[in-house]
Amino acid sequence: MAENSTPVPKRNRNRRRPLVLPEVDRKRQKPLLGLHIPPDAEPLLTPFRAQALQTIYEIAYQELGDRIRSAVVLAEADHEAPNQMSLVLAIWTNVDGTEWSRAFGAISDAVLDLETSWSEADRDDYINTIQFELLPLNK
Amino acid sequence: MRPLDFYNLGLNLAGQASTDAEYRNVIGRLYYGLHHEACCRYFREHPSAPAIGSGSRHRQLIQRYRGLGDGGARRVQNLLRQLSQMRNISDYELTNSFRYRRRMQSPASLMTIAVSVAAQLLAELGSFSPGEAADGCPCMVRR
Repeated sequence: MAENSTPVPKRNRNRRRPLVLPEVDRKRQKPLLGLHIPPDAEPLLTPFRAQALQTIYEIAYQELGDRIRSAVVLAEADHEAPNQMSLVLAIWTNVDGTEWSRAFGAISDAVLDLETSWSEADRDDYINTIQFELLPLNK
Repeated sequence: MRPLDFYNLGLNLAGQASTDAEYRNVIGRLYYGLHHEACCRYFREHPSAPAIGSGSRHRQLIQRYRGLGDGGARRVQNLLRQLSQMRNISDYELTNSFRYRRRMQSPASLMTIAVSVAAQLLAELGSFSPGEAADGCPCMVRR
């Protein structure tokens, strides 16, 4: 199976650490660690959105550790509104069944908590622009 | 008929599917069953909400759930959008294999993912508004 994304570093999934929000340089965007960003997504990647994507990835990583197989960011047009572009953070994991279901719920709740720490404008920007997906790999 | 008749048909077909057309058909039945189910349950919970226009009803329904703001509705929005994208790919990318989220997939493997996402979506809809939508549920589409 072809793989075009950045491999996730190995890590002990049982080791928990506090979530550290990445510093964002508002003038110069830092690269997103562990994420593959294709050129077509870069124009949409403001510093806030880059931080949001990185933080969601960190949340997922804390939940799943090395059970994340890859993570990519894509720019995607809505098929019913082609000028409406979204950034999709797609996280492929090798968990499935009830474990996938539990992880999806936990990450969704953590992201919702995260939103409460943002300004209303940033939150609206996030809701209207960014989607995350947790996708189970076929075994 | 009830919206979940489509969903249940899709699940039954999934167990027997052996051709690309059948795998793709499963994804479509799962999606449309849950699109209609989500629409019915949205209006059951929000009967005075403005009707959804017929022009871009799929996008509008996803936006309605996104706008509700609570965790359960946002999870429905997330999963409904994912399944909608899988339905588009499966109906329009008519090659033996295709990239989905940067990974190569066959119609059969995408169907397997869609079954998981659809099952989770149905569970989330159960939390959002318990109870299956009824026969002939009006989805309040403005024509």
